[in-house]
Amino acid sequence: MARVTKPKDEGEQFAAFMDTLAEAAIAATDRELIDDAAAAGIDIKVEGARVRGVLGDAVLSAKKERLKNAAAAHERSVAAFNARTARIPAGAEAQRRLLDRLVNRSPAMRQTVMTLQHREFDELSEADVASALRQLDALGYLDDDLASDE
Amino acid sequence: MAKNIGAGEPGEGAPDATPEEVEAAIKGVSDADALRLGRVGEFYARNLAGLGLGISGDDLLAEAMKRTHQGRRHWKKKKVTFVKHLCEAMRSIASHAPDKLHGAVIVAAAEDTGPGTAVAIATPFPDARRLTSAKEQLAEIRAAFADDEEVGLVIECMADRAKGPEIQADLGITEKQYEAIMLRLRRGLDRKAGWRA
Repeated sequence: MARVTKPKDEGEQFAAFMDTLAEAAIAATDRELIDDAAAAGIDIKVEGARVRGVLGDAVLSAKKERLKNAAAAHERSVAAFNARTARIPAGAEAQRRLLDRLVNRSPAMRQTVMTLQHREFDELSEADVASALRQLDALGYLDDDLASDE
Repeated sequence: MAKNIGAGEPGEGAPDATPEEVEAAIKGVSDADALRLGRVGEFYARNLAGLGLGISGDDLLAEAMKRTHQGRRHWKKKKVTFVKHLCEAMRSIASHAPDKLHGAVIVAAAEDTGPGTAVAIATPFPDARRLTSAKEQLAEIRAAFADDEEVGLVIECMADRAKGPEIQADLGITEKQYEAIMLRLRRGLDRKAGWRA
């Protein structure tokens, strides 16, 4: 086996030495590892359980981090949704006008609104109109329409 | 030197293990393999001692496991054993740790930051500090075996990046003699250099 380039300094020498020790440990037989540990006075069973514990704790840590990231992503999503909701006009009349403008521009939009609200268009209450606008905004249908309303 | 960590069958495009499979693999880690993981982590961590981060072998092992569970490191179950995968992950994490600190700003560590938190850099020159630490550790190792010429020669060969067969050829020794010297080296590091308290 040809040597790779010689280490430049003692930092690299030490790294090479530790790498070789690690490689030897990876390739060692179970017997060698157990005998070395016993020679150092290490309780094999206790050490085995301890290392498996390190692995188990790492999994718990990974799961906690995943939950934390999911919670943060959810918060960002909710904040983004709330920011969009704030763009919809406040009053019932202004909201109804906005919705009418949308459906008049696109007949397909009328059907979409009825589907969203499970109701005939003419039967939409004020709450239905507000809800429909929030959902349409979340879907991106209002981006061109959210000009100021009277 | 007998190998007892075998790779699985090679598999082109072998799928990654799922987080559930990774977690389940812990139960299959034998006591001997646990010792192996502990030792490998310790050896790689010693090389990072000079960074002043307090990274232990357990920290490296935990990080390797965490990244594997999160899918940031991919365990190809059909290609490599779990233990071998973790060993390679530890090697990779340790080898990249100094790069991440290149040009880092000094921040004093708070009392409650655990080991491995990458803020406890106590010098503006992490490379210089690491070199100093490496020099000191090498000097300690050489001193520990000053009375064992054969081990001393093997240490120098290892520091020169030579591997087993090459060392045997360079020193004109048999495999059995080499293994006996390595045994003295390992046990001596534990006992004489105090690596295993």
